[in-house]
Order: sequence, then C-alpha cells, then structure tokens
Amino acid sequence: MNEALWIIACMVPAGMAVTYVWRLLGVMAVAHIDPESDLLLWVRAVSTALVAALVMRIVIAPSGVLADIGLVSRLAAIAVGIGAFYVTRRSTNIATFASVAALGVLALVLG
Amino acid sequence: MQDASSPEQDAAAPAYDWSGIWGGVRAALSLPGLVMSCSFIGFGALINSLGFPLLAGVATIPLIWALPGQVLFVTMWHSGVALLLIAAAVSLTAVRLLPMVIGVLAQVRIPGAPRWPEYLLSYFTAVTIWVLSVTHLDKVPKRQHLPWLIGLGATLMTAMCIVVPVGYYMADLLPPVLAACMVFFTPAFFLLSLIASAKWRFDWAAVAAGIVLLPLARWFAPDFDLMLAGVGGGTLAFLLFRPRRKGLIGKGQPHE
Repeated sequence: MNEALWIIACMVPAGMAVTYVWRLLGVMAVAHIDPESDLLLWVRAVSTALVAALVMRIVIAPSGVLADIGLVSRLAAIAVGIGAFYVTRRSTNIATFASVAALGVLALVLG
Repeated sequence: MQDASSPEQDAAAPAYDWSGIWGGVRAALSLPGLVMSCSFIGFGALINSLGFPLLAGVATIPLIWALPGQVLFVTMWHSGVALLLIAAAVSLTAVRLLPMVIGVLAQVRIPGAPRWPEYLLSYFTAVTIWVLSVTHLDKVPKRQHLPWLIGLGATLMTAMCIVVPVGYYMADLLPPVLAACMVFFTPAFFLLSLIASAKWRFDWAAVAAGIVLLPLARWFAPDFDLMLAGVGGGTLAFLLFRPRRKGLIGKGQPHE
C-alpha cells in the first residue's frame, strides 16, 4: 500500500503533468498553431519510434509470463499480426486478435 | 430547451446541447469499448507480471490516460530508471496528444461558446476518442458533438478502471499461456496501430528505426534503451525522410 502511494506521488509530476501539458497546449493553440512545423514533425517521428521501441522491448525482453514463451514464438506472432493486417484489408482489430491467437498456438507448438 | 438541430438557434446563442452526453455513453458500450477493454485487460496482466502494485496501475488511468505512456511508466519504473528519464519518455509519447486535441476540437468546438468544455474534452482525448470523432459524429447534431465525446470519454475512463483489476486478477487464474496472450495484446495493438496510421515515409522509417535500434541500444546502454532507440531512431527518420512538401499533416491522421 505504501509502495503504491509512493508510486502515485511520483506519477503526478512524472506521468500526469508531463502528459496533460500537451493537452492543455492543444486547447490553447487550436486557433493558432501550425501543425506542419518542423518541431511537430520531429516530435511525431520521435514518439512513433519510441512506441515501436517499446513494442520491441516487450517482445524481445519481456518479464513475467511472457518470458516463459520462446523468442521465436513471440516474433512470429508479431509477424502473423502484420500479415493478418494486410490480409484483412487493414483491420487493426482483427489483426490484433490474430496476433494474440497466433502467440497462443505457437506457444503450445514451439514452446 | 431549444431545438438542437435548428441552425437559427445555433447562430443566435452559441452553446452546447448537453443531452448529447447520453449518445456518447451508449457508444462507449459498443465495439470500440470492447477492443479498448482487451488492451486494458492486457495492461492489467502486464502490471501483474511486472509486480507493479494494482492501485498504482489503476491510478495511471485517470492520471495519464494514454496507454503508451501508461505502459512506458510502469515498464520503466520496473526497470528502476531515474524518474527524470521516465518523465521525459512519457512526455515524448504524449506530445502526439497535442495535434490530436487540435484535430478533435477543430471538428467539434463551437466558436463563441464557453471554452471550459474544450478543456474538459482535452482531458479525455486519446486515440479512441479521435477515431470515434471522425467515424461516428456525422449522425450527431453539431451542438451535441462535444458533449457526446465527453460522455464517451468519461464512460470509457470509468470502465477501464474496472477492467484493469479484472485483467490483473485473471492473469493469476489463467493458465500461463493464456495469461501471456493477454499481456501480448498491448504490444500487438500498439504496433498495428502505428502501421495503420503511418502515412508518410518518415512514419515508416520511425517504426523501423525504433524496432531495429532497440536491441542495439539495449546492448550498449540497457538503462537508456528506450530513450536511445526512440529519440535517436525518430530523429534519424525525421532527418532522412522529412517531407519537403507542405500540406501533409492537416490531411493526415493523428496516430497512436
């Protein structure tokens, strides 16, 4: 309980404030900002790469239950998801379910 | 109450029609709510597998309310990374909320009406809200748009606070393979969302750079892997594939 409260206390500046500042700026700027400025394009590229890196981190270096499934199964399940995305003509929802299902099947077959 | 669909009334007294909230509440209980629930069940399973306290995990919902930032926070906290680095990484993923808020508000705000509802809506704005604002609102009267999205956002946020503990405890009850599948929901959904929303060459380059650079960054500096691959890979993608043509972003989709 104390640990949870300590984390939440850290989350207010390091999670909430740094997130909501962008929402507030969006409201204030809605009439003025140039959405094509180089700064916003760079930010878009960095946040995209950061989320892609986060995915890779969870896939190649997971902890807990996911770590008990082999690396080959994890990577192959991601590949199945990408394949399903194009087969279903770009349905993110179906492809996500396909990727998760593939992980389950591959885990049972390959470990 | 005046007729919401009457254009003369719109012009005479710019104001929102708050009866629109209930349409948004109903929309939250349909398919988008289900897909979002699966991701948050996965998030609950993830925090369980990291040994992250459930209460703090649920607190990320009202405090951060953007799944990439929430996953980054709990993952980096688990790795024992310095708080300043966590804040920087979470903030970098949240910058995308700025164009997203602008995109949503530009569609639904009524110029001349009080501005506080816009701040309230920005609190709930994340990728699901943005997607629904372009796909569902054409059937809703204009003065109900903003209340509709606030009803949707408030309902989804409340529902996810219930869904995360469900995922957390399910992870303990399920066979290990199924529990692993639930955790896998989040990375699969993130990657496919990135691919689905990539429009320009630098988007693709950024996805590829993040994926390729993470193992390298992990090898050289495990504590800074996400920051190195994210900031380094994104900057590289931006410098190599920066769009030369103007008029790109306005037509594109904010993405997450």
